[in-house]
Amino acid sequence: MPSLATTPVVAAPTDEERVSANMVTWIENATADISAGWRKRAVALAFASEDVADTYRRTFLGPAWSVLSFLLFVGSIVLIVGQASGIPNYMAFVSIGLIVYLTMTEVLAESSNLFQREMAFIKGTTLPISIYIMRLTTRTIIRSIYPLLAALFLVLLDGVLPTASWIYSVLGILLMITSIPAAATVVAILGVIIPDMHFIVQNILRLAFFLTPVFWDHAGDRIRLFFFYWNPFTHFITIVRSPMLSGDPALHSWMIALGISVFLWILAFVLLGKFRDRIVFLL
Amino acid sequence: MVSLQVNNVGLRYPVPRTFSLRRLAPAIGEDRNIGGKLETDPNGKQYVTALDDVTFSLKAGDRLALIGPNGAGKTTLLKLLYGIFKPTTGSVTREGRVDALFNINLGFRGDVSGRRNILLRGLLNGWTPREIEARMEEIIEFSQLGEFIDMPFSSYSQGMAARLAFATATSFEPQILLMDEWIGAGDAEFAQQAQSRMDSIVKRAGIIVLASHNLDLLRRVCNKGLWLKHGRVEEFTKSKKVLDDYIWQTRAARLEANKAAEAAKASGQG
Repeated sequence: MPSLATTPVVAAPTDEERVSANMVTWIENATADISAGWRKRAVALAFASEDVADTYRRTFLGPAWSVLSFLLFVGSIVLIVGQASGIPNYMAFVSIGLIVYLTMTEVLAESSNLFQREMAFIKGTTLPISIYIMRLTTRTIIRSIYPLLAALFLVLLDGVLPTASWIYSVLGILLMITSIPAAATVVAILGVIIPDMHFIVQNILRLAFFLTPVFWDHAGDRIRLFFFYWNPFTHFITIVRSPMLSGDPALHSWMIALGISVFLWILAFVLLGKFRDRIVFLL
Repeated sequence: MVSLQVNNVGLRYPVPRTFSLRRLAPAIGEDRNIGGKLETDPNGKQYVTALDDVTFSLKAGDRLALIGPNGAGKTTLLKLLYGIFKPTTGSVTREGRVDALFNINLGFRGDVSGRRNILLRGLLNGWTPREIEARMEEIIEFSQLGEFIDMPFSSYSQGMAARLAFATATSFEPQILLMDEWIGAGDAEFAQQAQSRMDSIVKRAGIIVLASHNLDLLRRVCNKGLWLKHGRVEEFTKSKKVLDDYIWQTRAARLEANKAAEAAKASGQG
């Protein structure tokens, strides 16, 4: 064993030392990968814009489809649930909830098999792993712009006019956007380690639409309260929706969403650092 | 000064153990094109040793012939030199820009023009947009696509697609060039041009590593040889000697196998 021969004779490190030494290496690995990815962001941008163009290429309506399908989605919910909900400005309520929810879930659904889909590139080029995360993040943000405009239109149509507290909503959207790469990294790497990840995520997301306050409010109901508070999506939706509809910056949800974001970033760094060189073998 | 140094490089990775109800099925994927030795440690964890203690160094002007039977680790070593795989032990030191001529068809998209595909493919190779722009006209001219360059890639014939891939891939000034088999492209007419383009690249490159089963080609192009066997270096010296030894051994092995087969046949009949 050549590796034994080159090992210097020193006291064996304790478990604690080993973990902290690994941690430093992982963080260094992840930082190196991300900075290499940032230098090559032109690649991510070019491929993301191709992805967006591909979505509606050869269609007559083009990106108008994303506006249309968003309007139909909100319209159906308002039509069926609106009367019974008892929520004021229900159309605005659903519009904002839905745009935030759809953006987050698109990221999760696409990242659960991201590296499998990028396998040919990962096994054939030396691009850093973070390039694929940047590509996914960029295309999701670009794709969300049209439905976001549609949502804003519906909010105004519902008589909700901009106030100074909308600035909190803008900050909320920024927090959501900065969490996207972290969430995508975590889910994509887990998707490589756990073969069933894609199906797990798909099933969770299908249920999550009903268990997330996109089109309902807890209204004091015990079961609803449970899913309201113990659902990470709730807090990202609330920090965008609440300032617009009630002027309340929703600081409690801000703290939780911020905590989730920080946690995801730490996890993303550790996983990226630990697995970046191994992903190519695991695919 | 261009140089390439490989010191005691080993590549060993765990065979992914998947959480699956089909546990009884063999864990190693059938489609893994990485050869190597399969080992099992006391805990039942399986490892593949694809490369083991590989050491060699090349300086400017060297053309290395990489030979060995299928599964010996030639492609793995090339991918490691390029940077797709990181070595588990040892180190690779590259002085100079590394370009690779494998996967040259990767990343072409049917719905966009040839021009746009040149940009996308160049980005994948790690070239900057400015470098790609500087080479654009030369690539288009060499590919002989003419006005088709602004048509969607999916409208190209196979020959046209191959010409574009070849023209893009070979449009650089290589310092260290890695090749998995000699590449050519297109019909007889273009093949001639492709051949002379390859010859001129080989002449200009600082260092070349060429993996191939075509021993005559290797004799013509290379001055050094590296013979890989089960992921280990069997021999590394002048290409003539390595190739002769390789042929000798392969023949001897074949002779041995024939003899054994005949003996088995004879004993079966007797």
